[in-house]
Amino acid sequence: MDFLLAAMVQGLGYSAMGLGIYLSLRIFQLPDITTDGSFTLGAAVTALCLLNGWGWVSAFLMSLLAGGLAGTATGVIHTRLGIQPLLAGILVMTALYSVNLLLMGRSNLPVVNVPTVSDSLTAGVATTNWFLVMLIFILLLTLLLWWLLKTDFGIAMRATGNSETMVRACGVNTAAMKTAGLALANAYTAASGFLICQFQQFADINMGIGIVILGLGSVIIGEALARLTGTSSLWGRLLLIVGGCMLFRLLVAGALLAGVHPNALKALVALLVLLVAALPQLQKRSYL
Amino acid sequence: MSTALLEVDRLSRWFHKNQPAEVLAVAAVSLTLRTGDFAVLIGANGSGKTTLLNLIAGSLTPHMGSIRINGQDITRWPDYKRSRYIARIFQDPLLGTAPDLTVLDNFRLSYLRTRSKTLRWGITTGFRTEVRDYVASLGLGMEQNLEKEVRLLSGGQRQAISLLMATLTPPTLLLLDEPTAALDPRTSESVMQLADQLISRQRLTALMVTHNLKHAVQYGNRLLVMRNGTLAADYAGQQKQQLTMADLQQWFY
Repeated sequence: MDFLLAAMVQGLGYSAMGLGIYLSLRIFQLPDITTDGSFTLGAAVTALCLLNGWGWVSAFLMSLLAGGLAGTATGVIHTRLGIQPLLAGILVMTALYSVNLLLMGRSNLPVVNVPTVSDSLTAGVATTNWFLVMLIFILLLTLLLWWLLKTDFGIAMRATGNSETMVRACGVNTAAMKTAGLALANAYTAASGFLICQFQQFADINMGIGIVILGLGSVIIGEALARLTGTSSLWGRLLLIVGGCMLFRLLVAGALLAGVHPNALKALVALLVLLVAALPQLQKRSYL
Repeated sequence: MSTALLEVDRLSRWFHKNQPAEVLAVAAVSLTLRTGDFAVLIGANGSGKTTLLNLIAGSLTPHMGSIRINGQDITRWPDYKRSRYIARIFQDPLLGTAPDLTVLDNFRLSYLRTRSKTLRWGITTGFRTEVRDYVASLGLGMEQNLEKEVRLLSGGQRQAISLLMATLTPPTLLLLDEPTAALDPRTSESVMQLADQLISRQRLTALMVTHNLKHAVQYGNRLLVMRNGTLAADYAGQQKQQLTMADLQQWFY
């Protein structure tokens, strides 16, 4: 049971990244995989701040800032230098590997014997406590994104990925807007790094490798859940992405419990995302 | 006496410059629109009329010449900055609206054309009422659709919405790029009537590119003809009123 609860806690922790991917991929239609680097960056910055006695509030703000800078780099490379978003993301992600190593000074940094964000609450056993802490964080981050997307700035954001010609005619500098969107998306990803680093009590240079699939999976599962439940409101869709991320982690944990060999896990994850992503098309075909 | 609102001075634009396929799409075109002018621009394919429109809108930058609005030089301004003065209607109804956003969101965005996009919730009860009243004042029954996503509307409805969006805050200059080319004949007539109604009601200054010679004769107080990148004719006043479609045919042979 504790194993499944831990999976849900992790799912919550990773779901900020899911929201970030939703922002870049769905709102801006930009496939951004800076994620792998900015997630680790968030964790590395958090570890450094905590180990230097800065406290979790500073660690949180610094990791958001670091993620935002990484996203800005990708945005500037894409919009000002005309590099495809996928390649721009790969470039920044690759460079971030070195940045993260330089920041940490070694490949693994344990975060033990320092006060973390979970110490701000004392409810029950450690895992339950973490669940509540993550829940509060994620609900606030979801609320913030929802509020932002409803503002005048947010309408301009949503329209940028939808009809670029029209938003430019409405006075939006789309290059700046896309950069802002990628910055925000990667700040959200770094927030996941902040949470996960403290939950697992270390930052590791390889913790972000391939993590983008989890973000994509959350968005795709969240959208499948939205179709299934007929959810069309923005608030509902954002919450279902969080739910999608938790479900994703639960399925992975379930697979491990069911005896799937850990080496086969990544292939299984890829198959799972493929299956959910292909669902609408498969359904359509079966009706032919 | 009306004053010069748009002054285009010896504007030139090449495509594929310094390459074998070099084309001078707009060749030293000068044009002045006075406040309240509704100019219709016609010309064969490749005559440079859409290029001229895009140069004025800012989606293309000229290689030579200048553009002024109300005396201000906007030649080097990017398109999104020109939105302060210019509103556009596109040929493709899909381009002029954001399909996945609601009609109200679209209205909000075009309301913000001349304003900054801040972190406030602009869609208030007051704004909703303002839009509903404005839409209702045209008697199209379109005020029922405000909460719908634009993609659920037909091409004609979208083009009508685009017109209403563009005029919610009256623009200094309205550019229409073949606004009815993608519509069926009947819808095309009603969209043109709506455009004409809005332009005359708000006394807008407008420049419209069209291939529809009937519309060219029927609407506007000036008629411009482009040929090989230059302004070949400029009919105004009485002269424009007396034009027939047969008179215009000559420019296409």
